[in-house]
Amino acid sequence: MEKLKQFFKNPLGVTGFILILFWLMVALFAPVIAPSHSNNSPYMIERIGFSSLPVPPSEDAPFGLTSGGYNIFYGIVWGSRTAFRVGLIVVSTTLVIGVILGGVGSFIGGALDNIIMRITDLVMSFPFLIAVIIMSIVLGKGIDKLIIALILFGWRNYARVMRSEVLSIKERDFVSAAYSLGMNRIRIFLVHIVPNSIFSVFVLASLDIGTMVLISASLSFIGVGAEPGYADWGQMINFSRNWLLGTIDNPMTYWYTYLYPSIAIFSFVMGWTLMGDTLRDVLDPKMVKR
Amino acid sequence: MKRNILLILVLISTVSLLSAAGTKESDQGSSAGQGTADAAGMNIKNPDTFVEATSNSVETLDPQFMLSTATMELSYNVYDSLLDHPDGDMSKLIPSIASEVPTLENGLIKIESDGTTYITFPIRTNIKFHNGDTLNPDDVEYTFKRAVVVGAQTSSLSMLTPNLIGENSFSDLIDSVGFEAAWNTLDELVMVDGDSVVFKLPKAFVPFLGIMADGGNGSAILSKSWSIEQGAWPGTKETAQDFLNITMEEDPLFDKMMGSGPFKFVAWEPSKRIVLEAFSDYWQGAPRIQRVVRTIVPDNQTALLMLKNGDADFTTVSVSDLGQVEGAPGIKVLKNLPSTWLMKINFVMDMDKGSSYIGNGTLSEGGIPNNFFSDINVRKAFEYSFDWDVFINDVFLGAAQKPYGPVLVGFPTANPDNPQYYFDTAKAEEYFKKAWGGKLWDTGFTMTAVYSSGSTHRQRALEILKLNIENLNPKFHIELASLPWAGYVGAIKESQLPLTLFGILPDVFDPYYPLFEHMHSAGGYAEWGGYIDLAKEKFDPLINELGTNYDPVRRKEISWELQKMDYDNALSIFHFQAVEHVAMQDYVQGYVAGAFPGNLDFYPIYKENK
Amino acid sequence: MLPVILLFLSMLIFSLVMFLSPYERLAVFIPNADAVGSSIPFDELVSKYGLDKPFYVQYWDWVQRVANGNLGWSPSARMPVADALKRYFPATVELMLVGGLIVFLGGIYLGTKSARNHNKFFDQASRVATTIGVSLPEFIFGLLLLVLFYGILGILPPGQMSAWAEDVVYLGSFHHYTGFLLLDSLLNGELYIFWDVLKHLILPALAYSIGLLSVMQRIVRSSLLETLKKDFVTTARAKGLAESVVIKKHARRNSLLPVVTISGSMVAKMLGGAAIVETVFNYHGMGMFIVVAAQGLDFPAILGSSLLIGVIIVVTNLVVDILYTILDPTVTLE
Repeated sequence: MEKLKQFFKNPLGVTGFILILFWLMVALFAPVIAPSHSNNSPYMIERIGFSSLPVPPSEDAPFGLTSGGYNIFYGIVWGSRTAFRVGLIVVSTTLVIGVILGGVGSFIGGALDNIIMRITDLVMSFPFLIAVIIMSIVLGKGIDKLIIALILFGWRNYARVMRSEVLSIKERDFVSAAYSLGMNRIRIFLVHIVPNSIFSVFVLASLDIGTMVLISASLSFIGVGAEPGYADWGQMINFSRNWLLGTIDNPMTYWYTYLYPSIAIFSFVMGWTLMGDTLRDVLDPKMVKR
Repeated sequence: MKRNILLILVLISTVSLLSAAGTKESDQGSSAGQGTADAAGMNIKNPDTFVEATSNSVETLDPQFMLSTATMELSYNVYDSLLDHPDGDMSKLIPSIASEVPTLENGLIKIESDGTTYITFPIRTNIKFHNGDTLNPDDVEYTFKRAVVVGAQTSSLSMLTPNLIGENSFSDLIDSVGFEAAWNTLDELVMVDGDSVVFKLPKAFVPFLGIMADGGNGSAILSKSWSIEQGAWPGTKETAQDFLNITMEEDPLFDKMMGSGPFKFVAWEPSKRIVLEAFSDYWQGAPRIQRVVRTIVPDNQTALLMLKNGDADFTTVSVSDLGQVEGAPGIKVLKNLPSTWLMKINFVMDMDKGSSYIGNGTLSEGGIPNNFFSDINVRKAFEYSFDWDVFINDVFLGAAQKPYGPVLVGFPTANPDNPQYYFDTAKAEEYFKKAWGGKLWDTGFTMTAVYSSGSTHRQRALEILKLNIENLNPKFHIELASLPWAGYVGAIKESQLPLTLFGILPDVFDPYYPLFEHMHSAGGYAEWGGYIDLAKEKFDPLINELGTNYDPVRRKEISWELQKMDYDNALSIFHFQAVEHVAMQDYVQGYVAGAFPGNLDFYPIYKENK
Repeated sequence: MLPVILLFLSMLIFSLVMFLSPYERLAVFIPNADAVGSSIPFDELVSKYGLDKPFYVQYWDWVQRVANGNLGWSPSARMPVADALKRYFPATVELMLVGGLIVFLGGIYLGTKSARNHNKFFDQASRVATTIGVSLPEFIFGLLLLVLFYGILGILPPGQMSAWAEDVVYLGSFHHYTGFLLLDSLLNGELYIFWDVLKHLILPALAYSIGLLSVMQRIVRSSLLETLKKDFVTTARAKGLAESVVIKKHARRNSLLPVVTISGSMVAKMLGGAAIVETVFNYHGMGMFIVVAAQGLDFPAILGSSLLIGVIIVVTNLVVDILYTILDPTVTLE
């Protein structure tokens, strides 16, 4: 409780929280805010016509249409669901896997540490792009394949960071003290090691949730990832690529194609980062209030 | 604070220094010289060099193995063929390396009573290769014999080979009649007779002349001595079998070119650029531009920026990017140039039973049987469900034309009055109700239509079909999926996809070509579409006659009949024939749009303010 | 250890071959363009390139060739794999160097300053700024940079070097001693080429290091904040040392551990090249090479580049581990 109060006293933390809360509401109420009128999955962005040129905002489409007739407003609203899904699933899974593998390995040390590190090396060297591309050939495209690929390749960072922290923590005096007091290893690991080494991991995680959306944008650029037309902010940014420069007379002709997705992504990432930083500050037992 | 200001100052000065340093050297270092202020006042960058920006990379420099049309631009300019077309007019033939166009009238084409045809090409004696050698009939003989021996893959040559030796490839011929007999056929195929070269064909083949004029693509004339020097087939009987079916890496001509065309090959930096230089001893006179650089720019936005900055002189412009160049100062845009590229949505009448794109594989709401499209009512229903207006006007913004049928618009014997399909929901519904003995309408179906990743026109075409068909009956479901290129190609070859979107790009301006590819049992599409038997029975005899009969009246008759038969059988949906836009600097003169506006003839081009 | 990993890696990648049909694998020989008709010689290509031989036969062939130093031919790059690596790898390394400099110097500087001004203006401002940097996709950022510096100002063009420089390097009497353009241009005495290459490196390096810079800044900040609260720091302060000395001499060293770790994974990321930035800036490095190879299922190229990257990553991790021991003497490795 005390911690919570501390959190809310920090203006940046509150800002972050509000941003995330906003998107959470949008995501939860998506079917109400942007109802789907077709039989397809509501995650496929609604379309009005097939025009190759983006269409400026109008009553039917308050944020306009991007090339191909995709309703930008619809995409932003439902895209929030995708952002949360992908971000939370991937980051939480990879965090747990990474912390366990990295932490346990380095704590126990010896051959186990070595093996785990070699596996990490292997995963790290495996070209991510190639795996994703081949996966889409064999299994087809789709957001779920993207999530699997991101999990398979995402845990190595957490493992490595956790490992480095644990390696240094476990030699500290208070740890040796705990040993000499007769504490068993598991307790030491859970009570002393983990809480002290987990901060860098949290920092990484807070940024990661937001950046999952960006990875999706990069993958769309290359032609893999979510199916075309799926409500995914990253994909929508990729759609706007050809329209950034506008026309000769007016470079901002198609501003709505990139402005809205950019704001969505930016605010989402910002929200998580601010929350993450503040949480980190608050949970650190040694935090001195200034 | 002070440290920060210092840091910023350092950064700014570094950047300015760097940019200044670069431009200074370019004045001194460039052989062609930098800007030249012309009398008209506009600065022409690199007046002697022409820079083309394209996203198409080159897969090989051996003209007998080029598969992609964009690569053929190079062989066109570096090599010559026996015949050519006047600039911009694909319907006429003019002599090139040959000094006369063979016809029946001038006696250079002779057809014997048993059908054996002799075509004689008198060869000019004043043509030089880039290495100084004079071109002679031996080079022509060598070129075509080599093409047969190594199994040339360009579409025109692979169409020619069976008409020359009776089998699809030389190795097939060896398998059927043994090496001795095969070699004899090859030997007599092309013979030198004084200053002429004589081709002996088992029977008349009308498109032959057109293939000889495909602009240095498949019929580029190689230098025999030079090729042998590089390690290509020595031209003898003893060595022929060592050169059957060589791979890309084994091909000594893979990364070099040496021809008799107006431009010399200088260098190839794979995936980056190709540099050509003017050949001053070109037999038709030296070109005006001294240097050509064909540079690969993968991102179209970057290419347009380069164009506007003068670092590129020419590039093709996609429909969506038109707004960025139209009206830009110093740039001229040529729009709506017809292109000989016909796209169609092909029905696959006989799919692999294990395909993952046919739902549960049975005639039910959850799938389709693997021979779903064998019912003509289904095909017709799909034809009436495609909305050409929306596709051409909204998706292509008007930059496409609705084809008449398999013979391209603008080709000889294309029939504008050929019956065509058009968007009509009532008719579509009518045919769907007739389909599968009337059961389809009540049962419904599900199938997955696939397009290749990144190919927007394929995606939109399928989306339009999906929208219109699903609107007819709530039990009709068409899912859409995309595959990376490799997956797409593989799936097509394995008959996994119910609909394939692939087109026809004729190198030769003769109706035989598209009709052969689309409707002949050996044309490729019959195999993909599963209508080989139909083709053998109904289309082959007509197409074969089209290939052997020189009479223009009869040819038109046959062509029209075949176009109608395509309509009657609803083999594919011809959804568009492409039209292209190009953009170039105002001071680029001499550009003439050819069959493919993006493939340039560099010879007449020069830079001048007008 | 290294050969074992490489062996496993290559087997893993190669086994993906099993999921694909020979036709899918020959797509790399067919240009991906709409300008291709149905006359693709499928079966001839399959038999020519031995794509229908069983998996273990193909794998064993490959292993034998590699053991003889032959990495095979890359159809997507149109040259032997080894040549392609020699061409594209140095280009990416140069990009990494410049980008790495930006990331390290910028990240450490900003991170330190943020930590020192914890929760004050600079901290907040830089956190917002770096978040913007992170939330912009690379290609948008790259394109905007290109528009500004090339489209409008005309000073920093795309590509690896200017056309006149390319002529000298590839067509002239330029000697490629090392394959690294920056180094080679100095060795050839071509100072102007050196500047030209450097000039072309700036924008792409900026575009793709912004994201990493942000990560680095946060890690440095977080880690430094950690360390600043440690007892030995309090001791140093109590001894009356100036704050800057405290940070530079005592805190920084210890806070560098996670930085070192992250650097290790950044090397991996940078090595794969930034395919997107390379595409936008027309800079031919490993990124573009790998993506094109992957899209075309060009296995010799995929395997070759994976091996190279694998070697480097293992070595990098080793270096990272060693650095741990130097920075933090209490860490012991087996």
